[in-house]
Amino acid sequence: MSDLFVGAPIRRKEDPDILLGRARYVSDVKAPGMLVASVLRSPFAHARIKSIDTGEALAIEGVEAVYTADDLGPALINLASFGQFPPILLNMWKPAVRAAPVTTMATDKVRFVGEPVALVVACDRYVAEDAAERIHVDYEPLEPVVDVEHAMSADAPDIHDEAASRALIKTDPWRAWCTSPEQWTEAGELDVQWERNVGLDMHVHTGDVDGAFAKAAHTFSDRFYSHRYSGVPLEGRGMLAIPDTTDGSLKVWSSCQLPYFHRALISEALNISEDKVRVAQPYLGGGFGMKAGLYSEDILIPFAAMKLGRPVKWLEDKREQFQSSNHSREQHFDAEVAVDAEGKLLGLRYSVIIDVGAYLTFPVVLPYLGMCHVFGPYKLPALDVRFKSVFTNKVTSAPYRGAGRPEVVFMVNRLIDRIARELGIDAAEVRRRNFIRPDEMPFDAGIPYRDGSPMILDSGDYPGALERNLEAIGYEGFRADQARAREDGRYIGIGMCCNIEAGGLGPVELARIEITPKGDVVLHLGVVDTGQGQRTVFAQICADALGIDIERVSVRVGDSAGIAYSRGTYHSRTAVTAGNAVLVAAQRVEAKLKVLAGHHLETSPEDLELVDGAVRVKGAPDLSISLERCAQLGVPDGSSVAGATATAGAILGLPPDMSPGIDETGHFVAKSVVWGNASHAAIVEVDPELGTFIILRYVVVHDCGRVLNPMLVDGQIHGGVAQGIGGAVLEHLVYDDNGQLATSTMADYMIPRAADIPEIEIIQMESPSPLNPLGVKGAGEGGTIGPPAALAAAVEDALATFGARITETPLSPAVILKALREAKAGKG
Amino acid sequence: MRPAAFEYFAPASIEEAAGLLAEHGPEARVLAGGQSLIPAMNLRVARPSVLIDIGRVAGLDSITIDNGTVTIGARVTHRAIEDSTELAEALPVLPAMALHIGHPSVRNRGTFGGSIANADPASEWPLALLALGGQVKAVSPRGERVIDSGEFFVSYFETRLDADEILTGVSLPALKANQRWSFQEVARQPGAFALVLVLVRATLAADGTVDEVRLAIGGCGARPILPLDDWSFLEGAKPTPDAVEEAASRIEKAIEPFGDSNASAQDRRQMAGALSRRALGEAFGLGGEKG
Repeated sequence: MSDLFVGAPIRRKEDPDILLGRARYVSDVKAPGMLVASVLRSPFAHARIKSIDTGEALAIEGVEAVYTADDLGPALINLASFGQFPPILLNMWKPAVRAAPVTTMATDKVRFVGEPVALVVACDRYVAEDAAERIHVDYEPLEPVVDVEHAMSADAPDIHDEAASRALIKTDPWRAWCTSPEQWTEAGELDVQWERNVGLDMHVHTGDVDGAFAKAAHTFSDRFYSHRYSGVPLEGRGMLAIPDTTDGSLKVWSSCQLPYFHRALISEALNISEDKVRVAQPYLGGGFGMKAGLYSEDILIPFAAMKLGRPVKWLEDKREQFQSSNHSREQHFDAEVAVDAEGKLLGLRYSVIIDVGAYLTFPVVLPYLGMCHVFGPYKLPALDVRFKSVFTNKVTSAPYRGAGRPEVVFMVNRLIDRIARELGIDAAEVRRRNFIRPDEMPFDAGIPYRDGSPMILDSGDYPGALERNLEAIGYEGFRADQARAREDGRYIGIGMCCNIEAGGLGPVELARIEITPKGDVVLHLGVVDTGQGQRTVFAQICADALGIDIERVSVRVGDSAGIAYSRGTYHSRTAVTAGNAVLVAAQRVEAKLKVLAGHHLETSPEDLELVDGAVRVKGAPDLSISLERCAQLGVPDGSSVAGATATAGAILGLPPDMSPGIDETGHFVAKSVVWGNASHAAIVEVDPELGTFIILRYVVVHDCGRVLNPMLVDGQIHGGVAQGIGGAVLEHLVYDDNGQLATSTMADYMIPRAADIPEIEIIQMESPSPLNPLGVKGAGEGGTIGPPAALAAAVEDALATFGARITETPLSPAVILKALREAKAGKG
Repeated sequence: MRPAAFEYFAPASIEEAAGLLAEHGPEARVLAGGQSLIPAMNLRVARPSVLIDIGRVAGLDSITIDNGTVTIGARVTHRAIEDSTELAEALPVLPAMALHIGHPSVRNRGTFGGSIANADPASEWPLALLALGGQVKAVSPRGERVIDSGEFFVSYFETRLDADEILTGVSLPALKANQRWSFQEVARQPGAFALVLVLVRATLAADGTVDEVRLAIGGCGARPILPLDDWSFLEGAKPTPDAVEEAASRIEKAIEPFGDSNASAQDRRQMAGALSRRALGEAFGLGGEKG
């Protein structure tokens, strides 16, 4: 294998399609006789559904069907949860998980504004929305619960019925997903008590925390708040379900990150075999984890299409996106840290309350995955954590790019800055004193990761990443700049954030390489390209492994018909898992090509190599067979036209016992995740009268192991930092006291635009992972994790003369001016 | 997000448009650039059964400057104001403010008259109209009338226009040689809705003393306001930083802003004071701060 393409800044193969408007998205796909659906959503945050009258809606011309929960029959299922606890974690921590049913459509109750109540299928979206307005739902409004503290109090209403939760947990597979065997009495009853509206309660600890606090020279406590926001892909969720009435099969074009999960769920809900369900997508306009959930429409649209025998399309509009697609990030931290006299971390205690919204669909991911990120890049000998995920009448909170990491990283880095300030030590110096050093790698954190495998930091140079950042941003000279600016009445500040990032979650991914009889190379993957450039990067790996030009490789991603199985795209996993699977598949193809060519050239396969699109004898370049010819040798008659000369029994080019055709699948099993890292630094200028600020510099040092394509990694970091800045500063999902979402349009929910994003200066470091042949780590989330902490630190530093402390996001005028007032009051 | 059904008319003259509006009454809405109305209709927050598109009505899209009066047709786009070389001379505050409205695609379609009639208290043109003391022209089958800027705005998205009246244009006094202006705005991001915005026009006598101050604030209530009636503490003397500070302090006391997640009422009060101080300072040429 040569490295012509891997490691090079290869231009994205998908860009011409996208830039010239040729790329098709779900909304561009049409089918003859297609109908369009609209979802009627709850206007109440919390209400009982007394009755639904669909008569008037059904009478409207152009309306084909109206479905409510009562019409769904077996398709009214409990949407499967993800991110469940592996048994090892259940048995170790014995969490009290209160599984609450998430039904395809609301039955007796609605629990958030935007929850699906009915589906209208009509000739077009106008008629469908007209009809949805004429469905008469008799609601009995219940008290909305929008605050986690109130939710846990005795006078708050129960959002979920406790008996239903207990009944659900008794059923397989929930019993295995939610509980440890020790949590059951001999009489077969669940021996777990739940607090009011608490969906998850878990206590995790490692090391001697009490000892750490007992011997600490200093302890500091703080409360932190990460506000509610989410990924806002330009292309919302959406799908087109096309039934084939001749064979009862269903093709679903779906803008989702998990086509194989969707296939399984559709197959289960509609009771059709998996071979008759194909889930695929054309191009995707962003996913960000928001499309890694399973939603009502994922069942409802296929259900309607099968029921009506006609293609049905549904496209989420922006208001629906804000009101129904997963939110994220809303977490309240109460933390206390113990340090020695030099500012070295001895122990950390924190409790976190996650405002999980109406349903608990990813119980483990947000709290536990996030928590694991406190074990680096700083050495933490002891930890004690109490997690609570609390139900409220808001949209369900689930992973969004970063998936629990940014919140925890914010807490840890803000604490480090607090230590620096209290002890009068430079913030960079406190970090230096606490880093895990490169010579300590691999570093065992002493706790299992969220997949149950031991959490071992595989490689990385954490101090180096910070030093390179400080040098790039000019840390040494900054204090003088700051003093000069202060004389001019300007408030500039610098802040930093260092973080680790788990990527490459297993357990497995497959890749399949097919070389057609004509010699065309097709690479099939089940993972989904949400925009990161998979069609390019996987082609790079394949092309190098087979010694061919990248243009010869056609990549097909995200199609459930392509390979046997795939987990999908999330947790910065595809380069690691699918990327290494491509390598394995290519090695199998290489082996077969060598046997074929060796048979033909009467040479041992060991003496052959794949170079320049041919299999040739090492040291004798003239003795070679082109890949095309080799592919032809692999089929009967050595002809690209099957059966051109059908000679009985003659398979010309094949060695004995070799199957014809070149079609090899490889897989990669990730035994554990791999750990990337990043260092973010920002310089900001704050206007202390207005509570606003601008970002003057932003530098990221990013290490995702071996870089497959530096341009694509730059793109991941650019997008990630932009989203991170958006979340830290602008994006905010605000609920009022009635549980109404106040920010449900793009005018109210501000995503960053070009003018809001500074030039992002990137330095790429490469600490290859020893855990996979490519040496790669995840690159998808590192950009997103750092901005909240780095920007908060920079704003705080700019306002140091006032003594203002920033412990929450978003960094809005409201938060900054409040911090300034509190500092003033504290001093007075 | 599809609008409810509506009937659409595209009259060719203002008389025809006014007739249609009178005929259909409060069920009808006038469509100009559509940058506020169409999104509201898509959300079904606005559900007019009749839409009267004045896009083909002649004579509503010109900017004229005559004898110290600037007249802006209702359908003049934000972009036309931004690009107008005549306005850059006669009333430069308008092109400067236009840059704060939305982003280029919004400015290309959104109109001056539409923004005035929409009466969003946090938008630029209602503030300009009030601060500069302009007048609104409206036409109905009953004839044309002129409404003074001080009376025009009633409350959130509510004006003195009658149900059958169409706003046809606005007249504003051109900037005189002895007048200075400053516009200050704080928004969460460029082009976003302003949190607080302040426009000042100061008239100075030949000896440098202050003749008159008009200062309007937007984003701090149900309509743009002139927070201080009495500027005598400042008028007749040369402007000083202390006088400006006094003005800012009085303004903070005079307003009753609301709060939201972006900025509390207290924050907005503080912003209004700070922006007023900066605006006055800039208009008076006191050097120092600028927004």
